[in-house]
Amino acid sequence: MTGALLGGVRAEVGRHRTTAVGVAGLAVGLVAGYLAAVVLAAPAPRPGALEPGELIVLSGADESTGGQRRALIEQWNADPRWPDARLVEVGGGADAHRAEMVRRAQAGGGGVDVYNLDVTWTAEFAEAGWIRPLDESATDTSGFLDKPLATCRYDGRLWALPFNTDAGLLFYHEDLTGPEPPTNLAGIRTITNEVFARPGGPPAGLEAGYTGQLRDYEGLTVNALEAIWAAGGDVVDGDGEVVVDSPATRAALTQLALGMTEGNPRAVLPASLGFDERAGTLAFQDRRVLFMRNWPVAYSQLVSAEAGAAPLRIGTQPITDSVLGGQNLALAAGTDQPEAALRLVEFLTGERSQQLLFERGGFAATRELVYRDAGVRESFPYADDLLVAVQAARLRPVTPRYAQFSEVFRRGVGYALRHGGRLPDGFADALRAALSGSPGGPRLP
Amino acid sequence: MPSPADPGEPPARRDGPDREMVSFVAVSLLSLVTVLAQGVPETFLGWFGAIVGALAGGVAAQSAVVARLLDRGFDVVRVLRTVRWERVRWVLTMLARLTLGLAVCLALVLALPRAVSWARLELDGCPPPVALRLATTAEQLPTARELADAFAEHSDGGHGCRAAAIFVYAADPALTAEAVRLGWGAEHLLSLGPRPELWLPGSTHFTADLSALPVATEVRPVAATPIVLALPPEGTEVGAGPRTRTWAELLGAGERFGWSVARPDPAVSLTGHLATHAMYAGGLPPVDLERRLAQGLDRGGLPLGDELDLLCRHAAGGTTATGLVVTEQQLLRYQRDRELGDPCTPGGRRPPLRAVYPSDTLGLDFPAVRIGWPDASAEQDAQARAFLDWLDTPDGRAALAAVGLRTADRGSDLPAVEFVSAPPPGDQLAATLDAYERARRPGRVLLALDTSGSMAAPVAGTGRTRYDVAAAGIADVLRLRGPADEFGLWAFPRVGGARQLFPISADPLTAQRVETVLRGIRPQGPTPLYRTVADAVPAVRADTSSVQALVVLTDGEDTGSGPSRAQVLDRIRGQGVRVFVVAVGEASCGGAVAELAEATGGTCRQASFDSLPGAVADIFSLLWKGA
Repeated sequence: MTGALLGGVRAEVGRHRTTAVGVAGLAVGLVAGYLAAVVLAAPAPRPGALEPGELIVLSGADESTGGQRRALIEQWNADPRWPDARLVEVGGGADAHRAEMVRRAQAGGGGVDVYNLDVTWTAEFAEAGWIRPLDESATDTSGFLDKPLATCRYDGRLWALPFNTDAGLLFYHEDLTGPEPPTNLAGIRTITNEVFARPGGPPAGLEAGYTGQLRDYEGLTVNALEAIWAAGGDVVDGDGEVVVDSPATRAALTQLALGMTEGNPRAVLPASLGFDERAGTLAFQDRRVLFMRNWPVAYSQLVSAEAGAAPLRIGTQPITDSVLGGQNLALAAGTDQPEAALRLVEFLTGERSQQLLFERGGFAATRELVYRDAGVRESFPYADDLLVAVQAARLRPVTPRYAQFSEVFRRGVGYALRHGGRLPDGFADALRAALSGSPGGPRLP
Repeated sequence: MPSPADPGEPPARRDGPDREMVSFVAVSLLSLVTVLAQGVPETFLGWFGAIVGALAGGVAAQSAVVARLLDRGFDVVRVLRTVRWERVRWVLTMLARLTLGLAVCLALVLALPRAVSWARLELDGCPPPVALRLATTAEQLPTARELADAFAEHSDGGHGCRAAAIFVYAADPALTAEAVRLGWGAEHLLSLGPRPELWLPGSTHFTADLSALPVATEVRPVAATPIVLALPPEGTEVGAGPRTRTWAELLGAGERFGWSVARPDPAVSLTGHLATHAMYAGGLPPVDLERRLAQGLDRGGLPLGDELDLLCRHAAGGTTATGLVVTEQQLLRYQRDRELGDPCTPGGRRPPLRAVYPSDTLGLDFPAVRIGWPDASAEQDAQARAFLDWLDTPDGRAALAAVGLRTADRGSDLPAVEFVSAPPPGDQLAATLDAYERARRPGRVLLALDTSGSMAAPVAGTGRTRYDVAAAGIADVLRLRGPADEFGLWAFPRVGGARQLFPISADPLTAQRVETVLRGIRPQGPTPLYRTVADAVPAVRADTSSVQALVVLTDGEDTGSGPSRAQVLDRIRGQGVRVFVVAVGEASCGGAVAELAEATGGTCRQASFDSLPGAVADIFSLLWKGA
């Protein structure tokens, strides 16, 4: 069409050379110049070289054995072809880390190139425009486990690559329970009663059957979701509808609540209401309980605490419907080095890095191949169980308002655990309000 | 495509090439290219907007109104100048239409996102609020949370949505002031937490140096609270009486009537520091005073900590014969059943406490500080200002009153008392702390060091083992020792059959000697933690006026060393020996060791290997350098 236009102009010029040539030339020049300007000003296509400048990765404090994330970044820095990267760590826990990330994102970037996001934050950061989507056609996602990769997606697009994953395991004292652990709380109660009824009485210090993380923090959301899923219930269904108010939910929470207040011995250690991951591990290690729900990292803690002493006979078993944990690496929307940042993310989530992080730091790998590695399987006898658990694990509700959802959910579940499993009035409405962000916000007793 | 007909002959338009179509297509295409060049749309909506915008540009350029306007324009020009404009009229028309079409298209494409975001608010609910960060002291953490929640609830972002949300966390006020001065770098992010826009340090004592900063800060005193003596009702009936007595008179009355007074540690609590200043200024001899206050802590089984620690322990079943030095504000929160800090388990009926107001007391002036970081967004800045402004509104003052603070609003049911809320000059407060350090009782401390196998594990990026880091921290801690302090060192498990590396004594000991002995130890074996604690506490116990303590440094839990938790608890409770635990590695203050510490008026401190030397030093500076 433009050709036709130019043809017209040319004809015009041909016929009225003297009068029209200047104006037509001007017109052609204007149009051509304009086109050249808009095309040249457009974002340049992927160049071969990486943008120079220091890459900043904002993350929570790296508390892994040996600071393996820091070590990995140093490896990246050792390659002269790549711009240097720096891991900036925020102390004070996950909420403090998120507070600093949100601060920088809301201030337009704050010099961050890569965010290390908990899997539940992807949606929030994507929806707010704080991270940039990845071009899936140009990003190699093969080799990643499906579930961790799914936490990187939101609204039909890919926003991050999975850095490490996690899924719950059921730990048990094999010398007390035998090698065939139960799969639900009813079974745990049965075995607990059996152990206590053995001739000679229960082992010294044993108080109850099971412990998990029931303190009022994200751990409670995770444990309550797993309990509800195990009973066949759900909180938010696939269409985003709140379906928490069901017989299955009530049964699951009632069982947990009554497990702490009824029966002798108790099926659930009452002190679990104050337990986080670490405290639960210690109670299990003290043999105050037979069973414990925890993340795989507890295994290393149990084993290294035992150095020099008689080895514990600890069994593990994947939790059938576990919550999927882990963290994802995403490119900050404001980064001025998107190519270099992407390369760094690909490096950190690559096969070799995933293997090192797992082998040395205990971070569960997001790539299936790592689980087949002989060294990994030797260091982590639970690797098979973990892989099964990760593959079967379920995502927490994917919503940009996850933090609000989780807070309301915990308030309701905490109430139920202290009131014999009874859900507070208006629980489902409060969850709906939290998920929809309706003005006025959720209200719960 | 044939060339256009002679522009001078209007009839040619009808049978010649469709000029309108040519310019429509050209303008639409140019519009589309322009829009795409701004960035290829990433959503269906984006593509839709771009194409509709481009077509609209084309249509606009073709509309009859535009054609007539252009014709009129050319007519005017032709009248004015006798040039044969028809020759180039076609080209000019196209250019004019192109410009107009592009303008229409761009206007549409730019307006679309705005319309969509408006529709989204209607459909999708509230947008995320502006997040702020508020640092405060450990003592003020629950108070600051309540204020932040009240502000967030009140903040209006339109449509009933919240405009702001505040993340509240505790950080040491002196370190916070320094970090603000230094621009809150990466090391402060790791050691203190996120960079705050707001700060509630409790007193302008900590904000004195902020005025000379490159960052714009705003310090607004918003409330005040006096330091009081919180007495069980029995106490007030036996002589504490109405509020005409000085601190000296009240302490004297306690002595006569058989009740004691416990004060928060001046080194970690500003309330304790200010109260000490007032007491010393009241003419009480420091040595005598410190002896009595130490008795109060020991008799009440109270921890060496801040005012929340004291109130929390009292809530869990305090003795009736001990009064607590706290702010009126924290006492009100205690009476109103508000939270007393994260480590304090809620629940239970709190034993009653009543306020006695010393006539020569000091108080907190509770400033609200806004730090205007130059790279903050306009919204962050505006919401931080809004928080300070809100504190000065009736709503804000009501929230301050609800957390127990006194504001400019009269009419509360708090008694009218005279007190100075502005802090004494910094050098005077520093002198008080010096005098306190000289007057406090000496410490008799036994340190039990974990030398189990797990301590041989390497520490990230240091090239040293856990044991190396711990040993270096211990040798270092001897610097904190005063001439009257006693020190002993045990290892567990036994090293070569012996666990006593140095017996407890007041003999001087060089860091070098300790280091030499520690260096000769190779960590190995299990962790007989309970056995060690059960044996060590009686070994510390002595008939002295010193503060007696066992400090346990461990990276794991007990590995079945004999006594059970309950047996150890029975053995060490009520012995007058405080058990402190530094938990590193796999050890946790969530477990049994914390129970041991709590039962004896000690504390459990969770530390990383980075912060281990600091944690050990913190405990020893609570205990040592007494006269």
